[in-house]
Amino acid sequence: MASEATNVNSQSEAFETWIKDQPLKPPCAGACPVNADIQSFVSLVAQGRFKESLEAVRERCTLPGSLGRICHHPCEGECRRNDVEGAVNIRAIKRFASDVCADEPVSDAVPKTRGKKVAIIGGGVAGLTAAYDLAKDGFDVTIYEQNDACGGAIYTGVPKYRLPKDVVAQDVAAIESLGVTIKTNTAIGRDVAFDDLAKDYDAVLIAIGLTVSRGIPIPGHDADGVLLALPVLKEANFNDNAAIGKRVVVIGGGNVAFDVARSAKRMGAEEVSLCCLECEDEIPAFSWELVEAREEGIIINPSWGPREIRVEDGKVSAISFKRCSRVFDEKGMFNPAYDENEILGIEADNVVFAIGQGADMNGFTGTSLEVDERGRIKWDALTLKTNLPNVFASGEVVTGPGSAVAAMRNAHHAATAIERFLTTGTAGAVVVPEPLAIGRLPRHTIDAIVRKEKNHVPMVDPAERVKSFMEAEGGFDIDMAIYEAGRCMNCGRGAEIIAEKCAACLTCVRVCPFGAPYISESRVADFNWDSCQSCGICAAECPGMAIHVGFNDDTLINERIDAATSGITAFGCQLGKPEIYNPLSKATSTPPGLNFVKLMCASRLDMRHILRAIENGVDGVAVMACPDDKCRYRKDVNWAEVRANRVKRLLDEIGIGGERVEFMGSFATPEEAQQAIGAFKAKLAELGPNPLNKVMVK
Amino acid sequence: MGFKEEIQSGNFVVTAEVGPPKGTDISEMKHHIKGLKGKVTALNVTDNQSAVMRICTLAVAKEIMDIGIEPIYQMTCRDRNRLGLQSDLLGAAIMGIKNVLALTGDHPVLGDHKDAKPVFDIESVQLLEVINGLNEGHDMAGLELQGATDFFAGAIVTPESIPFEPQFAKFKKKVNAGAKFFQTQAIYDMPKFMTFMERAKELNVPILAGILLLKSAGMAKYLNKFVAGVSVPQELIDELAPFKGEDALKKGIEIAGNQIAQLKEVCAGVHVMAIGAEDRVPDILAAAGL
Amino acid sequence: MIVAEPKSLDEIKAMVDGYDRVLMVGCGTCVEVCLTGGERSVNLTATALRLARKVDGRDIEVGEQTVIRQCDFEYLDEVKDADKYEAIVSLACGVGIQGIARKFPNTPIFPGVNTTFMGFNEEYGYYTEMCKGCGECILHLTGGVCPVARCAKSLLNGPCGGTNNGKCEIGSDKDCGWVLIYNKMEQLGTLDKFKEINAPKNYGKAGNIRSMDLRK
Repeated sequence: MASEATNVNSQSEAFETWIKDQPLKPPCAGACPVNADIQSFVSLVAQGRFKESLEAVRERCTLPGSLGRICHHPCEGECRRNDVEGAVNIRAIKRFASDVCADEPVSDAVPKTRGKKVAIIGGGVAGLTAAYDLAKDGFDVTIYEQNDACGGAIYTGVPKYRLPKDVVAQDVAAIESLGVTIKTNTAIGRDVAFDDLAKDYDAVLIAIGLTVSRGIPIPGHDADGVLLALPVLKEANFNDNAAIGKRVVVIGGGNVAFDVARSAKRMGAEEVSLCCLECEDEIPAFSWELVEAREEGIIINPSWGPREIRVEDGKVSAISFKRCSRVFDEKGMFNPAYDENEILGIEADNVVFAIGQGADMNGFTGTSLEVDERGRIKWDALTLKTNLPNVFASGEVVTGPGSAVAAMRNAHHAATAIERFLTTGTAGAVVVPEPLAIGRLPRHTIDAIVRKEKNHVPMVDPAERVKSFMEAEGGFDIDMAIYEAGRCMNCGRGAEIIAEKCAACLTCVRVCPFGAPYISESRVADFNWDSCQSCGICAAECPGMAIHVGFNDDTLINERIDAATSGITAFGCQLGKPEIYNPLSKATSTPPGLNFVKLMCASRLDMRHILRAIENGVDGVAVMACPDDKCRYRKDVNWAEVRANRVKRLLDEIGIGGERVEFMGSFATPEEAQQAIGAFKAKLAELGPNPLNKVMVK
Repeated sequence: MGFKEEIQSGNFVVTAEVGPPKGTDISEMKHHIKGLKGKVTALNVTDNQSAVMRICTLAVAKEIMDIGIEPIYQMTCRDRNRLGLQSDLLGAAIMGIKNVLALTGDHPVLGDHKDAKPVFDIESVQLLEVINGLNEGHDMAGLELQGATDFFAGAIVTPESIPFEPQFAKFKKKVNAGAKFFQTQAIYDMPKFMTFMERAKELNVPILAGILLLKSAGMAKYLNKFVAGVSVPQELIDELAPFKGEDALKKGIEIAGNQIAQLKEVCAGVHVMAIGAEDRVPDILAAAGL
Repeated sequence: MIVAEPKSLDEIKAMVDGYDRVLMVGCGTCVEVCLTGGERSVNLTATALRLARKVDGRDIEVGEQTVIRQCDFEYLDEVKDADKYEAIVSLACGVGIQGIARKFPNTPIFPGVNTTFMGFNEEYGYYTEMCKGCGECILHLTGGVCPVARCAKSLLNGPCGGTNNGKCEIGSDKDCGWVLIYNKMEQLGTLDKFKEINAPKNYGKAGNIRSMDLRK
């Protein structure tokens, strides 16, 4: 009951309107290729509202469990906590939200209200994402997937130690549950003709990805024992007895090369070397891949170009490399140069090429789909259209190789393009303005921010993890996730001045611990969002009620207050623990008779909020504010306590009695909180019901 | 010789004070006054002292004169504006009052009518100028009087005030404004007072040192804690500490006597305050060898 | 700025005891800045009044409005629907309260605050009296510290005997204005001016029914 009304960032209309109007976005969401509403899902985890958090993730990041593991999280790179003591571990929080809800029933199907059908060729990240968006929009979506299950590269390519297949299945199931039809083991050209699809469906999206690994025609490349990356990874993913030679050399420096090298180790290879053209600093794989690969004993040989594969008895015996002196020329074009005098020879049972992939266009040969001279789909990046009026393309097949989340971004655009085409009959450019992120934290604000060290996810010991394809990285438990989510500073969702109400009285300037407010040249208060921490102290003090706080909007808080007309209403920090986690509902709940109104910080508590609760008829109000040393914000004054005391005096004057308001501080465990609430309840029972309830008003 | 003449001829003068009672029964007050006859040169009559409402000063001054002592008419600026002050001064003149001590007066919040509206239309320095004007035959508005006054105007100074410099600056202002004699706030710290007297020499004005009778160690501590500009040295407190009741009073009389004896060569006189023990003033003077 | 302090709820409640529909009007200038008469104060006071009446078993309708200034008729024009109420409680200073009383001559007006002084905003929620509006400024003679406002007796020629370690005889929490003046003049090197006797003030300038006419 009450827990339903305690959403700190319930996506109410008022909030949505407000946030859309904001010119500046938090840097995490700005850096996120899909502009996920990171603060919302992080904040929901902080509040123990995991199911809602997962839904907030899925809104833009359609494969939460998978991306919670493999996303390269550019959001964390931009997190402003980097300047304090370390970025919020956003990816791990996302993974947590997915994992903790793993056994949740899938959602209900969305009614197909649009009366139009869309075929999506390819059930990879792009296809699934477009399917999600279009199904949510009420379209009848069918995915044609050539494999036995959806997921594409993250199903067949990404190794299990990074992404267990049941996680992919969980993400796919959630999308399927929206009413998306998935036809697996159905290949275009073999089982279905492309032109038939283009005719039968109102729109078609080609999202077939890049599924063919390329090799290099050096001497010996066709010998027994020379392998390609994707078949190796597929073998590793789907053959429990997959094996490989004792000595493996992987050629390539991208993430796929590292996936292959690390998989080879797990398939039983004793010596695994990875050789790439790029020098150490230029290796395109993510930096943590290098670290983890080295931990696993993989030898990385940067700046080497493959020269010749030595073959003995028709089988690979060794490979030689020449020194690569540069990869890109002065114009930045791929144009490697070599020093033939420097040669590296490595004995090998297997050589694996992991230097790039191409699209498998076989299913489209001889169809009306036009391709260019290199066999690539003719495609317009702005409209996402092909040469055919109702056929669109998206994902790596048209954008080239990239991250999963980049494919997801492109697919969102494709869904928008298709939705627009099916609505208006014409396709148009999908222009998504890059959000302007707020700036870095000013020094004086950094100094004022309470340090909270970053929680890292546990990793299985390297010696242990190379023995099998077990998942290498662990997840957060509930406490870790809630702690880590509580580190989010809600950048850019803070105070905003309502200029026509501002008297330039300086109250906000004086009470802000972070130096965010200032009096602008137009002689009204304004806020430096780089500094604002969204705590809400100012809004609750402003004598003109001229301050609006994004996450702590009065309208939302009042909604939550109004959820209770009896019992006790408690106000407190969203990180306080008056609640109990319920593993069944994947959310925390409050005991009956307690309406817990969560605030970003208890300092946001306004005297008016307490009076409103009392006026609604509750018997008592508990104010739970973290002690100064536990507060996520720095504060010199415990504002919640100050305001509770002011209201107590006022209630004495009113004749209701100040003892109906109790300042409690915060609690380490729900049990402590229950105990304090119990004692308060007993005290209120002695006082009798709220006098406003027993009085008959004429 | 009167008070003015005694001072001007350089004789050591002794003044004491009488606090009018709250109420119309003045028998005890009269008893005290009578006991001082012949022992003091003149007798101050306080003006709603400590902002506590009592019989008006003029009426009590008349009683003093009737008994045969010359009164020093204390006038504060707290309760009357410039009209009231001037008209009372004219009244005092026709009653034969010669000496006026011009004071600002304690703030009402220190007294028994804390909610009273304080007047302070003018203050001590300006009051001294007003008295000078009346002596010259005109009032504050510059209008000529039909018959001038001839007051001998004095003022007070607090030698142990902290900080001292602003107090001393105001002391000089009072001299410039026409104060012809000074009575001091109670003094206990002799070396400190001697320093003050040294600095006061340049002003060439008669100073009567304030002697407040210590009746117990408790009273000394109270003065230190609550009375601005008064500080009783620890040695005096220790000296009094072993004694109680009448014995303590006797010790206090002895201390006061000693102080007066020390001051004889330095000051123009002493102003003895024996609040609530006015009848022991003669004992103090005896102890001082006067 | 003009500083005002809230009246007690009991007092306000007693004032409007005979009314069931009351309009509470705040003022968005001085009293808003000193946190007693702005929109927030109106809302809190109105809510408290409503609840207090409910406790007594009687309903009261309290309308809420805040204007930019109650000391200007043009801003008072923004007060709407006053005729729907039986009485008005104003949270403005005494000037504004009289302004709204003039604006609505047939409506009883009640003060919701006590106007206290012209003060300086020292810090959040803390104000000190700095000016008595005496009409005869002498700050140039007193080192920029006003003896009229900051000496309990408004003395003009130095500290009284009640000065005590830099504090006033009326309370050890209050600075002695004359010690402040002396120190400031010493710092400025203008102590020679201290010697001059300042004449009694022309209180005629402070005490009359004052007005000012700049129209000519």
